[in-house]
Amino acid sequence: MTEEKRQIHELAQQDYKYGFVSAIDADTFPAGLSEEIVAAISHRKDEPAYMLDWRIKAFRAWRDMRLPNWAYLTIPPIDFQAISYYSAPRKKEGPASLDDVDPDLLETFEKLGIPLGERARLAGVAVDAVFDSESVKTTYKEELAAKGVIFCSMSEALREHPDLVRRHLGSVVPVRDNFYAALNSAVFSDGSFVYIPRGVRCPMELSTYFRINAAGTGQFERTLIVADEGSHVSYLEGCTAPQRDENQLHAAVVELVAGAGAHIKYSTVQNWYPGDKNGKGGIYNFVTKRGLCHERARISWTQVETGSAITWKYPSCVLKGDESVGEFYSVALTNNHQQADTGTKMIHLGRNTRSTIISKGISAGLSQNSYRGLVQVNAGAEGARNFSQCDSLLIGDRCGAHTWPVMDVRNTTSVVEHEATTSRISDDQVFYCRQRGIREEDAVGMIVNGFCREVLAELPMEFAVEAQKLLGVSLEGSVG
Amino acid sequence: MSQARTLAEWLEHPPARDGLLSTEARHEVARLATLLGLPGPRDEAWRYTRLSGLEQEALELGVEAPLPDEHQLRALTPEGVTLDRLVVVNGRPVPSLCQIGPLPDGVGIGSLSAMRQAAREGNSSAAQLLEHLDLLSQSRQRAFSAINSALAEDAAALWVPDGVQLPRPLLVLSLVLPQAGPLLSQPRLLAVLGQHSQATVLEAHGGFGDKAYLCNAVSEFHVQAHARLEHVRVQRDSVAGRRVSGAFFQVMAGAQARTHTYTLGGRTVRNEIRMELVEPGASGEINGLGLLKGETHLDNHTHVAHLAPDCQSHQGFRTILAERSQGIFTGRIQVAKDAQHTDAVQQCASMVLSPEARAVARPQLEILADDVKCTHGSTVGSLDANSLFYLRSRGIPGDLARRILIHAFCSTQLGRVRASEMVNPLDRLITRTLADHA
Repeated sequence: MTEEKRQIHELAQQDYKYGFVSAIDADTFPAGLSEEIVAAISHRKDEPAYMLDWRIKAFRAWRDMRLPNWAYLTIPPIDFQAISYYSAPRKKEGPASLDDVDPDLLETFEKLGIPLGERARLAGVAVDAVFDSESVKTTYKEELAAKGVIFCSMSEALREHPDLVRRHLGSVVPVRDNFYAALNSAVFSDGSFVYIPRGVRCPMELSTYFRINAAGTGQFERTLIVADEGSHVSYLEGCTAPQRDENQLHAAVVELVAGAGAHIKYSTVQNWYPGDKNGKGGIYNFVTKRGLCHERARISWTQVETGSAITWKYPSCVLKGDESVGEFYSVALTNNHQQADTGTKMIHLGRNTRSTIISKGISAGLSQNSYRGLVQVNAGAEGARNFSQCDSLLIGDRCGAHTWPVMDVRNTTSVVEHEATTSRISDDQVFYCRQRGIREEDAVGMIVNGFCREVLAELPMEFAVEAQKLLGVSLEGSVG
Repeated sequence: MSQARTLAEWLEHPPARDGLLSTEARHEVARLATLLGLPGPRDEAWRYTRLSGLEQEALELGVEAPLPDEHQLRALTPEGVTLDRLVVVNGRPVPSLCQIGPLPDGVGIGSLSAMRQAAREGNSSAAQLLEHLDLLSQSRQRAFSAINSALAEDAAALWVPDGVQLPRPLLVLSLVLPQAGPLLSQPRLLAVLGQHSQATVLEAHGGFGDKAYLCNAVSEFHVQAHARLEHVRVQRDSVAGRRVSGAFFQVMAGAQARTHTYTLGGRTVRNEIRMELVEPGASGEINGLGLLKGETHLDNHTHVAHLAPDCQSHQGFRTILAERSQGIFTGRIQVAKDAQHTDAVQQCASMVLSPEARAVARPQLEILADDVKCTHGSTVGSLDANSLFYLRSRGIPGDLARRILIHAFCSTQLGRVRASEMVNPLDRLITRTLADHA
């Protein structure tokens, strides 16, 4: 065996880096879902009364809904009564400062490389970390408060800013929107809330780190970002989970509201545990993300999806205001037995609205990777413009790449274009690199990074570096 | 005697006589069709097309149809081409109107019932043809195929033996002539092209009168190794006409099948085209043109299955949408696990001329092999203002300039027709239809 082959072989054996479990004392509800559990979550979180009604309404809607089955995914039956819908790290007398936070927890974040507290100040990133269902620490709060920016956990927002939350929660993703959104509305336990006042440019990147730790639980977080007129915010989201043989459910909802002339940039690096080489374990990632754009507003979704056993996710933009802009940049990489059905919806309602979709799908191993998208231009959306490009890259001959775009145009003044290609890493390209002394694994990494560069260029700097590394790690063992 | 019954009643009591299938077999398929049920809005494949009220409608099978007059026959016949002609009225071939010139030995053109008779008399190629019946139409999964198999009385049939080239294009004129009430017409075509054979088939479908009808057409084409098929289908339905058509192609090693569908009218038209490239080196092409106005709803649904390595496919669809028309395109390319070196192209372009029109495009790629080249592109737009300006600035009146641009948009599709004798008649047809549009 040559040196390279051996190295590749070793790399291929490399396991999920974030697969540790933290021995943190957690307060977990018994498994099962009923109106009592929903009420108990609401009660435990000390929520205003309207929230309980809202949750119960969502629960009843969910009970009557059917599991969506249109995606190109093979989803083993999920027993929704076997999941615990609430798990919080048990508090040892409410931490007042960073020093009081459970040291195990801090160590966990250390392992994850999340800058908390002082380190955050140095890194210049404000972090809200959501551990299982609870938000454990929000950094940089005072500095943000000086600008009038609210960045806190959802439970805190419900206590401190109930009217603001009430006005916007569910305004973009209504409780009956879909099966998983209804489930999330009924049981969500925490998440992040961001409010940027009129005309404010958020002085730093905001970031949330999600982690599922406890076994037998699901994570249902809810994120709401409201950017008032003319404001600007860039928000990053990252996620990891321990390595377990069981499948865990993650059903999140993200709502963005961009007021007139506001700009929200939402970036995700999703690295939930993808299951082992034989497809055992892994996170089911069923997420609803949608943004509403008022006049001249702009929402950009950028995502790098490398984790999860199954991904079902369609970050969307409702371009309601005239001249609003929606963007979607995505890299979805699947390896081994992973399945991803992901894409976007761009709903053009206002005049002269524009949208861009760049989607890069990479499939390796035995995985299935689908792009599914909708571009809808309503009759009133005069002069609307869309450009979509979805490219697929196949590595190996046992994986699948699929594309399911839909274009629905209802007026004459708009222009909608779609392009798609499917290709593989050619032997010529690899040979060229090898000839110049580049190892095969590195060559593939380079080619993949080149394939994704339009999307990676959209990520904030720190994330772009992480994403590039992640792509390399996720592809290990798929060639050679 | 004509009887009107709902579809469910017809399927419960199909005519107790031999039709396309034997009495026994048609009962069995009818039961299957009932089980499959009509596709509804919850079926993803039928999401954009409604055949609302079809369940409740009382339909006649139109068995005792009148003969079409010379004017109706001429209206559907392309001018200036020498053809062999088969005439089908309300789904039944009419031998007295057929005009077949001298044919090479072994070629069979006629009704399936005549072929069945010949087979009984010991004609082996007729017997072989019959073995191919209902193999491709997916009547076990597709409700409309099952309905056709259960209720069709007869079919048009073509048999081309190995190594034979059909001397003239075959024209299958299929007319729908509704009488008293709404009519269910079920034309059927079965064509088998032997190895190294060659044929051009033109299917001209038309509906007359102002009575409602549903035409449920099924065509099956077996294109054996190294054969070449050029298939052109022109559909001109009346404003009260609804059409669900299924065209199924099976293409073997090194063979080539090319199909072109021109939809020029009707109330609701659904064209399903399925092409299976079964053996290495097969190639297929599916083209379509829709010239829509009024309330016409056109739903083109294609499925190209690459099941073997080294196959090629090309799909090109263009639609002009005026007034309140709707144009839906769903095109699926499926590449099976071992179908390496597949080269598949799909293009769909829609030109929307009215603010009330609607265009939907749903390209779908499903790829399970890695060494393949698959691309699809689709565009939806209107007339290009710069091109219009260019023509106007050269003194061409606005109306004419628009017509020139629209005609140019359609011409691309004509360019893909290889049977050169068909190009001019098709071009005249398009020009005439566009003039009616204006």
